[in-house]
Amino acid sequence: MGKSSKDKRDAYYRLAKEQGWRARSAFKLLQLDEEFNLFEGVTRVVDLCAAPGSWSQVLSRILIKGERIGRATWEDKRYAELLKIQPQDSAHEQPPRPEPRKDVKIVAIDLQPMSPLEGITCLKADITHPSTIPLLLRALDPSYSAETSSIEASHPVDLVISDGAPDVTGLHDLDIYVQSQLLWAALNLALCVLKLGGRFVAKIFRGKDVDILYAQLKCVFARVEVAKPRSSRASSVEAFIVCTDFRPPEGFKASLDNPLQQIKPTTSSADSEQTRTVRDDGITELHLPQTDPNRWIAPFLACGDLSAFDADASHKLPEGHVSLDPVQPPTAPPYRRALEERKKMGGAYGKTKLGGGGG
Amino acid sequence: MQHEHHRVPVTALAFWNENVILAGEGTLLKAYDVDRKTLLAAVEVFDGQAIHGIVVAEHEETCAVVWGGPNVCYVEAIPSAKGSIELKVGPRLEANDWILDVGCSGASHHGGSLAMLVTAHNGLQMLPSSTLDGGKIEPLVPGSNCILYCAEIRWLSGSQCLIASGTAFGDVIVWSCILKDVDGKLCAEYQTHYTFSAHEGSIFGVQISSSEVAERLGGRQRLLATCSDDRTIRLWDVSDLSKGSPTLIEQQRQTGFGSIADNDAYAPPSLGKVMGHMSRIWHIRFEHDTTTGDVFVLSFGEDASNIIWAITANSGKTGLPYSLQQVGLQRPHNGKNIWSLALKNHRVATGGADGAVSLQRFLTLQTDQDESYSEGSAAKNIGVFRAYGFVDNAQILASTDRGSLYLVDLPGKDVVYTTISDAIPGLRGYSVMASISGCAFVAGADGEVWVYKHHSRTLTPIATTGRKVAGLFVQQVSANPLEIVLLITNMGKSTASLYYIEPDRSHDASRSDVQELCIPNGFVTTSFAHARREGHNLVFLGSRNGSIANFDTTLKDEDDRTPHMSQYPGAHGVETVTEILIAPGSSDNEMYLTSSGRDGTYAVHEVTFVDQRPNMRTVHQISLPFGPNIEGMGFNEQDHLWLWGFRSTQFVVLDIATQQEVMAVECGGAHRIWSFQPNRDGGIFVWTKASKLYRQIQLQLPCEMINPGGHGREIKCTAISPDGSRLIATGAEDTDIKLSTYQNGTFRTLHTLQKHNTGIQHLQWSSNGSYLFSSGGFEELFVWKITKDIPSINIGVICESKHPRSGTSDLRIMSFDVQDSDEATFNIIAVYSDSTLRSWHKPQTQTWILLAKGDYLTSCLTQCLHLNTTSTHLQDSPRLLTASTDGHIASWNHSDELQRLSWSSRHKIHQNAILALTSCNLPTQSRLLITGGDDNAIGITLHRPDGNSFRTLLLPNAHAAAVTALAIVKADRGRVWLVSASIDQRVKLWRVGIDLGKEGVDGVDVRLVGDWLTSVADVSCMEVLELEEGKGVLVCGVGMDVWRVGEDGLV
Repeated sequence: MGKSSKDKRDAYYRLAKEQGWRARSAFKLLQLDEEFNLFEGVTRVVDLCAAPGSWSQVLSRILIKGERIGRATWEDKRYAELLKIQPQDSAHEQPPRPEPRKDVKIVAIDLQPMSPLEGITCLKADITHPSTIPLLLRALDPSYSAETSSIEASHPVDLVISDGAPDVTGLHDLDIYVQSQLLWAALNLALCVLKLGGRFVAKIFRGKDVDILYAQLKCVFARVEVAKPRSSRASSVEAFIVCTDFRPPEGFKASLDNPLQQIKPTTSSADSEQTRTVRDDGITELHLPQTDPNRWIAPFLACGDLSAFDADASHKLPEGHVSLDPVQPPTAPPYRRALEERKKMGGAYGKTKLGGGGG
Repeated sequence: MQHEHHRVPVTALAFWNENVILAGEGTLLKAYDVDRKTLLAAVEVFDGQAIHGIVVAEHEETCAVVWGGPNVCYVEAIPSAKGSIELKVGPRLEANDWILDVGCSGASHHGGSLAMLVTAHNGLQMLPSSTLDGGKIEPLVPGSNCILYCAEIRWLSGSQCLIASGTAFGDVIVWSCILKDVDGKLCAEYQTHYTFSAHEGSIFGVQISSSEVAERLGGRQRLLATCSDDRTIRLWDVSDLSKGSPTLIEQQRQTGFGSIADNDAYAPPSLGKVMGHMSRIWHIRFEHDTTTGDVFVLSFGEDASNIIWAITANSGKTGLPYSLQQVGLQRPHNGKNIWSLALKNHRVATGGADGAVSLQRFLTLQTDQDESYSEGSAAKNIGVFRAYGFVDNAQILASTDRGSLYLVDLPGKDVVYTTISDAIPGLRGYSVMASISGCAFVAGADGEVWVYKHHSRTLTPIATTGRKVAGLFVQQVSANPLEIVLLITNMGKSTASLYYIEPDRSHDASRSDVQELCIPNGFVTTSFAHARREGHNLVFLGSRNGSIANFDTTLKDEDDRTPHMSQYPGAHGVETVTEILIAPGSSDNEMYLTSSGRDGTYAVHEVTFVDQRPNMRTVHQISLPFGPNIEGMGFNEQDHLWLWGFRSTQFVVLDIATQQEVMAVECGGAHRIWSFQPNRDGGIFVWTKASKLYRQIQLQLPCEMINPGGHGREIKCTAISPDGSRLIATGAEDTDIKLSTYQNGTFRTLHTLQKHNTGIQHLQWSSNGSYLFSSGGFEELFVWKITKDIPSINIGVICESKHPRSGTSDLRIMSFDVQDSDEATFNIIAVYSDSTLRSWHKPQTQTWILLAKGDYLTSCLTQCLHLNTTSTHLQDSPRLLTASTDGHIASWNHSDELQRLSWSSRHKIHQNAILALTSCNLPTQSRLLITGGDDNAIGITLHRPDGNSFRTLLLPNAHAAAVTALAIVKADRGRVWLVSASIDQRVKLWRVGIDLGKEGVDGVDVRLVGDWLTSVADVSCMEVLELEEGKGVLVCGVGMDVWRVGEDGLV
């Protein structure tokens, strides 16, 4: 697909380039923020699997520069609407002003190298490796010393986010397993550095047995919801798990030397009765009993304004639209060298006998 | 509901013995008879878990270990009566992590064999003995934090095993484990030998060679082959196990790409490297030819192909010691991905994402490449061949540039040339040939036509035409007495001469019977067919301009010539009609003409006679998976229609009945002199390349299908013909539409329609089943006319019409709804990805008429539905409904004057995209709408016409993931049985009670009747399927799954 047709097909691809984001996934975090107010009271954040760095960019612009994007734009828009309806009340309800936050600490970790971002500490490290924790704690607090402090951070963080995903193979079971392993890796690290009441946001594949994963996350967080930003395509299995109010069980001690690969749900929230509730919008919800204590379906929330661009729709390009180059070229794929070799041997579609091309 | 049958990716394969192969297809373990290609047994092994691997212990053929995810168990195969077997599943065990490989030892000092498993975190665990019940898995070596994509266990002795592990980050770890008995307890001592960065991408396949294979390469002890995301295959020498290496963790290095430099210290010697497939490579295997001693590597890729590489020593002092040469390539599967394979006795079985299990003979594969022979040195002065014609199954008559004729005997080790005639001046520099079994005709520039009779090996002149002969065409008219018809066309002559010849009689009698056919203007004859009907001789000629003309030789003009009766233009567009075959119809009044053309299609035309005049109507015309040069066709011994032609540089033969490629010959392309003689499982192909004669003889299919497959990518939509033929149309991401039947518990593909340029979005049948509609991207919406009961192809399909295109738009037609006004006139509502919809009238003529257009908001519309407003008293009731990615359904009105559709009300049901919509009528003009959302919810909405009111009962957690498919299986007396499916791979049966007497949705009662796992991932659609007995649902996604809905569920 050419750049221009991709612009039409994917509004967020175009917007990302226009607004200077390194990847369209920036909008996913912004839209998650609109719904969950993720950054309220947040100053210390760890961004896992951060490269190419669009989520760190969001953190930088909201927390360091104090820009009013994400939740804040939504509030501003709402405020403007309120003004229209009730102009008389506006006198004592000033919209909040943009304000950089104090003592912001953001650490971004990835295996891939990432272009630096102002005010953000980038670590090239493996999030599953025990040695990463002291590295991370030192990055958060330069005074930290592994000898004197416990592994549980002396100054824990407010929010851990992870947009990591493997290259999918197409074998669904395997892809779901590898993604869940990545989620466990992120969670294990989060368990080591998150403060009580802290938040955790990570990419999840909504596929087979995802309800088992939800039930396990529910053991360490008071609230677990699954969210789908509008900028994520309906046809994609991708969604985000938003866990708030970190509450590990009594006596829980996290470490990467002995990472968790599962948590056994202890209490069963099984209910056996159907319940009906009538919502404000007139829709009657029928809640079905969830009988298996090992499975739990997290509440689903679509996020992003309904008037926001639809990731599935085709869009007309504005008059005189000029297709921009991506802010950052995509990371070199592992088969880059293979492509180069092929080119040498006779062009991208070269006359080589390699592979099943003609077959 | 009961599970009936599924066709899903084959994710595990193992030979049980010579005759039986085990396959993991979703949750089912199946056993197939390799030779008969029949299913022997099927059993569900794990509850809710697909099978990912099967291993059969080499020395004992009674027990296999089967695993999937973290689950593992022993399976016994017990032979039962009539050559069938019974699969007996032992106790299910669970490891604490995902299992990547299981290795069974030979007999150990304990007596029985040991089975060890390696996990995705490189942990090693011991399975309990197969003979004991109640045993459990014993962890021996704990896992680490690295994540593996592949691993292999090879037992070196009864107490030692070697493990090769490939990580997601391109590292390989080679380590071993020695089992020791300490005070009656089994303990493991393990050591890492090599830890190294082997590839630039994730490692998907590793194999440790046997010592026999390694011995062949410079007397080594063992080799390691690896394959990766980086498209390369690499060979390593891991003979030396005395070396020790720190583990990945001990090295304290950063894993991940780009940190290569620091760990070459623990790498084994690199032996060879080759760029493999144009895709990721999933598996790698060693194989060696025990007779020649040659060593090979087989690789299996995402590109659904497998390549055979010969390992040869490099002579040079620089570079790696071995190189890998591609010596064979097979593409046994549709679409993408070979997920599984098994090797035994030089037979290779592969399992694909398309659900097929294919079987190839390894040795045939690699010798096939050397099947072509140039002319032998003894025949050096034969010259350049001009034309070939088969005179029997193994011999051709060949003419040369010098005008000589040779009989060429093909099958032997060396091609044998027998001179039939020394140089004939008229054939010098130019000759054409036509042949049938027993005789051949040859002519040249001087217009003299010769006949060669094979039984007497004689060549005699038969006709003098006086002009350069452009073409010769021959066909047998009757067998006893043998009568053949020969058509001769000449350069610059407006007539063609038709000769009836009885070769067994004397020449004189046959010569007299010549008919002159007047060739229409602009017509260059390229193909010919003859039929006799009610005493009339009928001739059909195909032209270079794509048209077909017909003649009745009883009709003559004043000059005693036969003018053409009618011409059927555009049978193959404006491209050459390469072959015509005639088959009788069911009555005397009809016949069927099959034609192939260089427009990449083959076609079937129905010919009906009115007053002896033929009327032609195309009832079938589709593109083939090769071409555009479709060059010919014929029937094999089983009466399957075969078509052949060229795909790039290959000559390809396709069996239409089995939808399988029969033969592929690397010959350099279409522009050469060639001839093909089909036989049962292949045929003989001869061609000229660089002035030499080449041959390829195929007596065996290169790949046999133990179980045929379906789409190579995920299915996006399905529709089942309502006319009782139960024809299933499926449209997939691979842009193909397949027409299949489900009979006797299996799917059979009849046709693959390749016309769309993008993945298929929606399919629908007309209410009588004679039209199929399909939509996709780039504003594609095609109308396919379906004709039944056509000889040899069963169902005929033509693309009769298509949605008008603006030419610039890449809009996807997300969905549409068709209403028939009469048999061939339709009203179509289509919804587009730019939030618009259009109402079309499609009359039987070609033109589509735009009735009205409407704009929704900004979100993508996903579904639409005509509302049947049969009653007239509700003038302003809505005409149609749409659903969209904003979770709303909207009702639309149509004002005819303004040609404008506008939505009159929107009703929110879901939080985001509505992915499925189904409905049924209720009493008093009410309607039940059921929607499935990306938000895991099912919405049950009552639409009452009075006041156009929508009231919804929402089941927020109906599934654990997006609800993508819905079907109503039964509706009666206020109760509806609904089946829903989701990408959480659950299929649920619901009973919905509806009491319209109650307010709002108070009268709607929902009960979950049952909940089952489907092996189909990425479920996208579902349809009610009438089974031979009773009713079922067909669930489609990555595969197809049939469930029977028993009467007991519907109470």
